[in-house]
Amino acid sequence: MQKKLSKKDFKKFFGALKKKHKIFAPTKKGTITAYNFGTFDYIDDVKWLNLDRNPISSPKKLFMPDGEALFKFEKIGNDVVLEDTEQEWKEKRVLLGVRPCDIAAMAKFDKVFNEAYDDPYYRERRKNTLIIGMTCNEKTDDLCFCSVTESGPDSDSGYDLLMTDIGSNYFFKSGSKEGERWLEESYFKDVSKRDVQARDRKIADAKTDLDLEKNKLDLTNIKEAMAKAYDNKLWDPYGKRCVSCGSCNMVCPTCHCFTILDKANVGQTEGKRVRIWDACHFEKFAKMAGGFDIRPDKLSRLKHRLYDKFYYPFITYGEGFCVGCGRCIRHCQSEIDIRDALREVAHE
Amino acid sequence: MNNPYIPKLALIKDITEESRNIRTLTVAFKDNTPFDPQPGQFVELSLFGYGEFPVSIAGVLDPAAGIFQTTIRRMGGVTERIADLKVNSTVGVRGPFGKGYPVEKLDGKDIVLVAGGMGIASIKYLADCLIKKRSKYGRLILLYGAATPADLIYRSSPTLSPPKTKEKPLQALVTVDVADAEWKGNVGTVLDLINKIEPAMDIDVRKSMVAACGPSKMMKAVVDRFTLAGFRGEQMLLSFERRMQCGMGMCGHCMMGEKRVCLDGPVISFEDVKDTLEKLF
Repeated sequence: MQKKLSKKDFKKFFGALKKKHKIFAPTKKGTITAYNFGTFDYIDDVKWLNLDRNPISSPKKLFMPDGEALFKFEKIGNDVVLEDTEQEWKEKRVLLGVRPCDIAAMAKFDKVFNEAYDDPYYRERRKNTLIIGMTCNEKTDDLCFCSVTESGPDSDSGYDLLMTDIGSNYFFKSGSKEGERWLEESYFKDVSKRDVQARDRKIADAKTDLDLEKNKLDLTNIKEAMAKAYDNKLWDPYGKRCVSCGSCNMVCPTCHCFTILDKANVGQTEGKRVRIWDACHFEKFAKMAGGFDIRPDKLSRLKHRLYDKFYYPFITYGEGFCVGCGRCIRHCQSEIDIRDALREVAHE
Repeated sequence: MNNPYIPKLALIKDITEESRNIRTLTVAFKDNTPFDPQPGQFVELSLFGYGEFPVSIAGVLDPAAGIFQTTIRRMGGVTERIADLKVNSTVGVRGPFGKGYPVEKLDGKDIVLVAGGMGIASIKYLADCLIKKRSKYGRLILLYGAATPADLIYRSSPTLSPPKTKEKPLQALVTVDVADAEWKGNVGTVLDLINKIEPAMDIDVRKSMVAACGPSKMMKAVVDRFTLAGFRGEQMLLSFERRMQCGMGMCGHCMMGEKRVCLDGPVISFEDVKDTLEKLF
């Protein structure tokens, strides 16, 4: 189903959403910092909404919150009482204004968290979250390359609703029954041929701009190229520049590694087991109790992250794990542009 | 709800002090859930308040009642706390996880078991299982190395030291890296042991298998040595040690190239990992 919503009526839609869901969206929070990017956060007023730019961090924190409690425990004598945290996952939420790259990333997360085992924390949070995507009319900056990874600027699945800014209106497409039900609300109006054309034009313009990246980077045969490049010296300068800060892991919408640990009170009589985000760039990520470390140096860790985007996932999930959001480049303090490395790999 | 992150509660039924820093725990599920893991699989053991860690299953005493054993060395972090455990302490168990030794592939074969240090835990459980159906297999040889005589464990286990009167189900050869004054046995690595006894082992390479678990240096040496002896990749079953945290292929800690040791292993044949881009050992 396709409908449009006048920007003037957006408040009505927002208000109706708010009655049923807790709304998470790109906000203006943090926009006065040096980065000038917002974050995905809870908002209860449309005035905090910031649909201009894709936030600094991906929305993965909504589905796998850093530090989420897996369960609580209490030790009484020799006994231990466990309490689940199911109530925390049941909240009805809406993720508003999420971009095609991040929508594509969520589909990849779905594979990780429901492969050999089903992760109930992730599954329930995902199930209880309405996805309202937003296509991109323009690149956030020159670091966007979603067109190369085929995950933008438009989406064809993975959303309940998908909006496009076509001027004085937002063009809405539904991607699920629940999305369709929303479009039946009175403030959504029928679309004209012109509106459809306007949407097509917006997408085409964005695509033309993004496709310029395609001339510079071709990932068609990246799996085969990566297979041959592992021991190549081309990686060395990148390994030298990397400082193992893990920023790329944290902002990446498809990096999912975590560590499980207990947070307890003094005396360890009660507490909770939590999972915190971890990064394969961190020094001790793969180190074992006996001291053996499969990736003791920065270079091997840098390669691991890139192989876990452009090689290993092809074997495990049948697809690459980069969605071209550009965050890892944008936030690398050593100014490592993974596209440079990939170009070199492709050329070899 | 079936939540694979919430451990099942279990009681410590018995504790054996194997060495100055190694204990074997006999663990029983509080609800008596049956527990019949494959040898080579692992569990995530919880010490509530400190965390959990992956550990091999060292034996199953009563599968129907869910009573099993696990051997733990204090290595810092959570494992340091096993010293606090007493009989009747409550622990948590998740699992079993991963793929164990493919026992069905061992039928009719001569089997060389190689264990180094704590690697003896999973190898001993494998030996237990093989001995239970002893007539199905050819010769069973165990090569076991530890750092010093004080670090040798399971000395009282019937698998490793069968009663003298019986015909030995398994030929065990033991070595230590560094001897003490009382040690009269072999000194050196398991590799030295292989080199020393290989001519006498009289092993038919075509109908033999190797199963190995130990420190990475040992694993590398074992693969090199048995390759030299004519073993093919699929005849070498390697049990990998990695920091599996979730055990379910999500946390990323145990990746070895594209392999995830928690799902694809811990036991993987050398054939299946020899082309992995990252180093194995």
